[in-house]
Amino acid sequence: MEMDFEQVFRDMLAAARDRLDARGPQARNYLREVMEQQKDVLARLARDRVSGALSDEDLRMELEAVRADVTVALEGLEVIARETAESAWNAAVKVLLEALTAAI
Amino acid sequence: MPRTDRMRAVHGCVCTLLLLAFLGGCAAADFAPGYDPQTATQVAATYKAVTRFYMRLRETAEGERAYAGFAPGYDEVAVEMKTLAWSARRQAHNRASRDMARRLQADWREIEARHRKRDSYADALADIDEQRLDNLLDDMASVESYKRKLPDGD
Repeated sequence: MEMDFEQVFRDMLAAARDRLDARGPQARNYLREVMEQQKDVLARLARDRVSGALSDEDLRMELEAVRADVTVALEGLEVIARETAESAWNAAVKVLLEALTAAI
Repeated sequence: MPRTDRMRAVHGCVCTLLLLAFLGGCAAADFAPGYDPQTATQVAATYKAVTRFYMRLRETAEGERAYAGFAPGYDEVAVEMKTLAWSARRQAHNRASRDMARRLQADWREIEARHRKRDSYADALADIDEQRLDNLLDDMASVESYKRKLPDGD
């Protein structure tokens, strides 16, 4: 049986795109989650410094800690990106193998 | 079809299927960290230990929070965090979880060092520190849940 590779490749791209579309919102949701968390912490820091509950040194130390926390928290985006890329690639390969199975 | 031809045809089909399965295995990507139930469970255990520590802290009046009274509590949380870091290290492609677990440990050491140096721990600082630790643990739990494969199975 003949195999139209151009068509197969278009189907592979479509399968990969479906997976990217399905997983795209995950990265946005995670980023929003991290930003909301830090908003609460920063609001509390500002309020407590203004009220005098925190000293300048406390504020400096906590801000430095928040910066380090956010840096590692955002690495979570890499996990989502890798999982999305893996899923898209595997979906495309699956289409190719199905086409090969039908052609052989 | 003679029996030998039929056998040859079946043999050919089986070989083709095996070849395709082999090609599929070679071509399939595996560069994302997999979901690890042990890490997910340890995140919950660490969350519980942190919550317990801060509950005990708040049960003590702000002026009576000398470090010595809380040293065993610091150790309990440190053990849970070390176990979490170990669990995250065991898995391949798991840099994000490893770094988050290390950051938790560094946070906890800084908090303990400050408490030891000042020999006191104010409510305002305790509230912020607990929230920061909770946030990191929430993020680790989220990352673990994102590692779960979706129903499409790939």
